[in-house]
Amino acid sequence: MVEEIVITGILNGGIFALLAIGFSLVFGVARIINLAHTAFYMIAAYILYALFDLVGLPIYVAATVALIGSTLTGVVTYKTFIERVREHEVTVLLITACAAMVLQELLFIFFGGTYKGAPTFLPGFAEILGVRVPYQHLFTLVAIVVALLITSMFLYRTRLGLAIRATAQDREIANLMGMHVPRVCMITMAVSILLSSFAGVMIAPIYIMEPTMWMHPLLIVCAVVILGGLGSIKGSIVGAFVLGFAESLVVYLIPTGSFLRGAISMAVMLAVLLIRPEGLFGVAFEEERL
Amino acid sequence: MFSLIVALALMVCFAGACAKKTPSPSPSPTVPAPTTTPGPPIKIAISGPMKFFHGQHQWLGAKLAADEINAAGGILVGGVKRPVELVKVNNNELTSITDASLATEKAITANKVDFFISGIKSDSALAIMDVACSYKKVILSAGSSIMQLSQRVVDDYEKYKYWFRPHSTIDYDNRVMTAFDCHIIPRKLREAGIQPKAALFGEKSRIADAAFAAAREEYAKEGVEIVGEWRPSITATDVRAELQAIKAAGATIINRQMGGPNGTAAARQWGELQIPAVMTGSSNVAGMQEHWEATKGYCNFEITYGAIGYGELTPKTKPFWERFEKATGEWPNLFSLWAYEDMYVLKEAIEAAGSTNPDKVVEALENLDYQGVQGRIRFAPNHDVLDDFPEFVGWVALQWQNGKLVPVYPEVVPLQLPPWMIAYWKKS
Repeated sequence: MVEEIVITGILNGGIFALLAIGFSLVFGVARIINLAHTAFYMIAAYILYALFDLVGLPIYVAATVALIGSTLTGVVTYKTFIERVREHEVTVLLITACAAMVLQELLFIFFGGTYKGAPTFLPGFAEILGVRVPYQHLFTLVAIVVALLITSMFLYRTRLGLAIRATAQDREIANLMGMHVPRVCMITMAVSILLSSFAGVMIAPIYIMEPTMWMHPLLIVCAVVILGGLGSIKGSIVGAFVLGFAESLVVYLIPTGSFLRGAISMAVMLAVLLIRPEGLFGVAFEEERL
Repeated sequence: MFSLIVALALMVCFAGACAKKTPSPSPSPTVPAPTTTPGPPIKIAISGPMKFFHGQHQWLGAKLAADEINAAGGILVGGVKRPVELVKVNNNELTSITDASLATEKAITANKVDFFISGIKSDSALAIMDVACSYKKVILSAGSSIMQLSQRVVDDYEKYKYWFRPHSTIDYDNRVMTAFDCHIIPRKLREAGIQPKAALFGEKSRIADAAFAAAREEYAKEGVEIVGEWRPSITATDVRAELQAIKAAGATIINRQMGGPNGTAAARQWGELQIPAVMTGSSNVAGMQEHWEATKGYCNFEITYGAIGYGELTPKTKPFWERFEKATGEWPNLFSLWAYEDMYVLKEAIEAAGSTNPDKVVEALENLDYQGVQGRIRFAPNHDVLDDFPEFVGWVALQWQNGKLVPVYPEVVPLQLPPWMIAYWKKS
């Protein structure tokens, strides 16, 4: 049973991490709590489905168009609705929630409320220590690691990454040093949505698609970033794996209560916050915030 | 002077209104011959969660029936053929009981509907029933199968007599499901040299609780060990962990009871991971035509239950399936079938009553004897359908076999075990 708990925990944690990184990044830089974050993940998944299943494009072409299309939708949403009120956090919160609802309703109109499955990149499964792991899951895990490495290189090895990190540390000083803060915020938003869209493209074949599919991951993402410390990428990754393992433990140790795995994740988050209100890495890694 | 004129005018209007209400001379006791001029339409509310497949299919089934009835001239009421006018009401009942109640009330007060076909989700169905019955509107159930609904008719007949359920109840469904899942499948496994061991897999809901309680008793009678119980959330879209745990526990039968996207996830992931167990029990989504596509074909060999499959279950089943598919381009499911059936039950009752008066229609429904698509439809004193198998075939075990959903109990096509399962257990 231990190996099953470990493998399931790693798979859950990897998926949560991929979703949480972008959310955390945009909060760290632009102080935007983007409640539409997982809505863009949903949009990417639906575009992939539409282009592959309905139009008949090859899967990798469909995935590329889905990434671009969803990111563009996010950038347009940001430029049109969010940028002008970026300093008003509550307004931004409400606008992003509204944007997510609008996107959800649009999907209801165009695709209806029936459940849909996105195509698998790699069908079949491998047996690891007696646990059957679909190739799609392994592919997703590799993709997560690659996405993390690319994001890290972008942030630490490019001038734009330096500007993003500087803005995250202190927006006023970054502005005084000649950085165009609104542009940096917009680019960060685009990167965040690109990561979310990437998660959508990778995860859509694993999960089931329907127009309210953004809500549950949003809850998990919020729990992960609060647990890890808002704005901390390292915290998000650690938080994702803590919750991933918590869910895995519930399913294996309390099978009759496996519907409570979401609630138990929240309970873990609350317990950590009671002991450490700033989250796991909120203060200790303040200086290392991206 | 002005007030006097107004008072006189009001008196004249009042007198006029009263005069209109004066009964006309008594009609002849003989039934008048049908007139060629159509009467006013009979407004029937098709009220359901119209954003979801449940409501969409409810509408398609009712629309097909309405089109057929109207093409034949309408419903004969007291010698006058009256067309049917459907009123589409999105009551959002899957997510909000309050919305369901308000939509029902609005349909009565604003849309002035005469009858209701409504109530899919159990808790919302209770609220919808309350509102419709308080306005004395005859309401035919669109899908909710819990016994509390018909118990209300027994407990407070005068208030709830307007409610009828022309489809199967949870008790009947459980009788059919336990017969197949707990007796026929284990015997089939033993014949194949596989020891039957069951896993109970379903969300925490009243429906699943009742199904599992019945299954526990029946598995015990059949000598089948239950290896565990897994209860994921109804909204879960990834149940791989549960399936891995079920496989690790050595189950050869997965008795799943699912009503949401968890049903699609369970089927897809079961097939994708080739879990060596028969997937049976009930899933709201597995009987849908889109299920094959949604699971990318991984639902092959999955068993589910529904009110209809393609085959000669009753003399009317196959013709109905073909008419529905031709008209809509889709396969019928339980929601479309029940709405279709409800429409004809209502037509028969209104024609027998010779009136749309709710009390007369209730009396006619209580005495109804109608041969429907599901079989013979008559009502018990609690207004549930009399479910005497095989006269009434209201619940059917269906299996996905190479993209087709075929009835395996009552058997029209033989049940098939998943080939990977046979290979796995033979190797073990």
